[in-house]
This record gives sequence, structure tokens and C-alpha cells, in this order.
Amino acid sequence: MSDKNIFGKNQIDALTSDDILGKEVIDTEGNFLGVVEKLFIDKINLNFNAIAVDKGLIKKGFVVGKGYIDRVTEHAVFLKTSIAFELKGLQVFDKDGEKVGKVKKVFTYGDKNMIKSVLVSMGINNDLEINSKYIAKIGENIRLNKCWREIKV
Amino acid sequence: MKVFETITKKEAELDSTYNLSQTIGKKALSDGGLIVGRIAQVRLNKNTKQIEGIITRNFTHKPLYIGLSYISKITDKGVVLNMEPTIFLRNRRVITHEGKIIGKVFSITRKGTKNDLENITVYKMFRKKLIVSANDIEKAGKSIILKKGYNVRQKYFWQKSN
Repeated sequence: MSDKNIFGKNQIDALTSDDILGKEVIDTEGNFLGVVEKLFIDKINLNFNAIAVDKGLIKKGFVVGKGYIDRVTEHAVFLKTSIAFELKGLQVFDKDGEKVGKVKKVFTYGDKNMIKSVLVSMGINNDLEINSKYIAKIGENIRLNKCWREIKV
Repeated sequence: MKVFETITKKEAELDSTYNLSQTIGKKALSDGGLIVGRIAQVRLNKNTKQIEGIITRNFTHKPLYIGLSYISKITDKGVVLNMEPTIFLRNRRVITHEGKIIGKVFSITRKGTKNDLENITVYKMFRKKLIVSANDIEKAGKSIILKKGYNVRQKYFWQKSN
């Protein structure tokens, strides 16, 4: 690395793109979400804004704002939260333990990581949109706090 | 529903109860929605005649006897637990606070028959098994994340132990 520095500050402790690109991205639950593919830098103020996460050939990647990044370590990039879009494919059970269906789509508030509702596939041409206020817990699957028959968006 | 003759003293009305046999064969879910297994039996205490627990069956694990203390809800649709069974932590990845994968959970040790974790045994190919105390675990989710400052000194199987 070059010794010449016209920045005025010591950059020994600073992160470089090499420290971030190619690292595994891990959420709060320990889910391995993908690998850091790109860094996004604002072209006006040159601030680091976000990272793009590559999930492989088949799955679609996503972009995570720097506000959701908890820490960058030697081996991985840890996020402060779980990603809302990762709910797709999870099974949904109501408060009595009855299976409702599988998450087909996740709706968020704009580009934020806040869940607005989930679209649950209950069968062929039979989908139910469930507001996030009915979600009791998200873990291996999703549990609701109401019977699915009582739920209306 | 059929019309029944009722002989009760202080028990609830028939309409306030449900048929427990309908629970058999339904799913038992953990707090986070993990399918623990299918309910095979509902067990009653011989003396108190109260429900003591359930037995679930799962192809991937031995049958589980889960006590009522860990059950949040029993309905004719299924059973919902109030915890995540720690025995299902087996085969989950174990990573340090720095994100380094140190292996997979080979086995878990609980505090007696409780769901509380005492320690886990971590296994990685060509390395000696490593025992990690529950106190060193920051989070046990899809992967197990160890606390900051936990020094992992894994040895290869040909290296001498301390």
C-alpha cells in the first residue's frame, strides 16, 4: 500500500472496498443472506450509501442501506435486522396452529425494511393478504396472532 | 353436535370444551413456527388427571415428550409451544462474532430434561470437537453466533489437547 497520503488523517483503521466486497452477509438470526457484490457511493457527496448482496445464480439479490449494517468484521458483514423479503417461501400458521399457506409476496412501506403485509398462497388462485399487525412471531415460519378466518386486510 | 345428557358438578359446559382426540395427528409448532412434529399422544397425570404433556413424532428426531410448562396452546388444530426446542440446534452452523464459521453443532447438552442449554459440541472436519458453553452463545437462530471476545482454539485431530 502507498505511503503517500494527502488526506491528512491516518487511514490504517479505515475500511476499504477489499474489506467488504466478497464477504458473507449475515442477519441478526444468523442467516447467511449472500455475498457483498457492490458498494454504492453517492456521486454528489461521495458518501458510502449501501451494499448490493448477491444471492447466487438463481435467486435475486437485494440492496441494503448502510443504516442496516451493524458491523463489518474480518469474515463477514453483519446486519442489524432480518430482511423482510426473506420471508418469501415461509409457511404461515395461525394462532391455533392451523396452517394457512406459504408466503408468496412481501409488501413493505416504500423501500424501507418494514413489513406492511404478506401475500399468502392458500391454494390455486386462492391468496390472502395479511396485514403485518396480525403477525405474532417470525422465526422458522410465521405465526399469526389471530385465526386466519377472522383476518381481513 | 349431538345432544348429550350432562352430568357435571362445577365443570365447564360441553360447548366450552373440545375433543382432544382431534389434536392427535396435528402439528406441534415452536414459538417461532418451527414444525416440531406431529402430535402422537396427549398425556394425562395419573393422580391429578390434568394434562401433563404431549408426545410428538418427527422423522428426523426421536419422539419428544414435551411438558405442559412449554406448551402455550393446545387446540383441535394443533399445539403451539412457548419456546424453541434446543434439541433442534443440531447441525446448525456455529460462527464467531467476527463471522468465521467454526463448524456445526454436533450435539447439545441441556440442563437435565429442561429446554435450557448447558453447552454445545461443535464439530468441523479434521478438527477436534469443541465444547462451547451456553454462556458464550450470543444468539441461537438459523446459525449460532458466539459472543464477542470468545477465543476459539480449534485443534486438528492430530494435535495434542491441553
